[in-house]
Amino acid sequence: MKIIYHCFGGSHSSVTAAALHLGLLNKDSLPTWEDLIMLPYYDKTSDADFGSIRYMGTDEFGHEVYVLGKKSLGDRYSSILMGVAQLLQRQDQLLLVNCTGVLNWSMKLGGFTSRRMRLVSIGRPVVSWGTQQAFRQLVNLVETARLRATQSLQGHIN
Amino acid sequence: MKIIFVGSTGVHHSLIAANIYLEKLDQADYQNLNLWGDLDKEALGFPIFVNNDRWGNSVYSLGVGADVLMVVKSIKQLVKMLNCSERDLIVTPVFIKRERLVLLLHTVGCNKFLNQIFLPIIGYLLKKEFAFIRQQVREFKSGADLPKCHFRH
Repeated sequence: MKIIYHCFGGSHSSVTAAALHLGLLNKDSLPTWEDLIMLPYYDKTSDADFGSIRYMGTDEFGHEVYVLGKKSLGDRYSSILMGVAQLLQRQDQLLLVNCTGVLNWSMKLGGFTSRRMRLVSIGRPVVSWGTQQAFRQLVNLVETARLRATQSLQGHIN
Repeated sequence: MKIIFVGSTGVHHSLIAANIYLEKLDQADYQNLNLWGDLDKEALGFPIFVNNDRWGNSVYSLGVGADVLMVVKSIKQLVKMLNCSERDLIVTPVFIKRERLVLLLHTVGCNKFLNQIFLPIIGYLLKKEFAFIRQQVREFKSGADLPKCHFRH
């Protein structure tokens, strides 16, 4: 199964969620600023990355985990991509997880300052702090996604 | 094979392009076009089935908002990720010169009452774009490695 975590820029909440899914971050302890910055793609994307489905890794069940920045399209992006998967009769191979629901003002403001205004030294600490504040919600989101993916896998086995 | 015409809305210019491709529309008369301005279909966010072409390929229209190329990029990538190719699904963008204005009118006319007011205005604007849309469909037909290779007798 392909699991795509998507958010506005594909740079913060989706990357953190994908990292949690892959075990790159410990779900039981709050990540430090350094932990977050070390993650691949975290606060490192450019405008050209919008719409690119970027591979983050493969989890212990063989699910491929990706991140995607989709601007302000919200849940519509899930419908669009799932609709395409349905046309290809591959909908059972795809799980889309919208991470924009966990975004807080610090993440929005810090992300905008760092990525759009390119004021990294100002924006990055703000967005990292915001990510820490949203961390528990991201853990819940990822746990739900992992459960859905596992259930889907068991459905295939059974 | 599936062919998806992608535009900022799925029930206006991309629908026109799909119908031109299907040879069901040869002049800018949209009022009787099936699914024209259909808000319910558009709201679902899924590709809208228009019809099958003469070769048996299913033709769809899809509305994706302002950034059409971003979504086209994602769809093309997704097709490859799902171990499919352009022989399974082709996606082609449809542009108009009054893109922002049509999208704005479509967004403002988000309920059925307002849609009845704005739809004729959108229709009027798109009449001026008909030749441009038809040109894009011609280029798509001539450039794409398509349907003839899946000819159904």
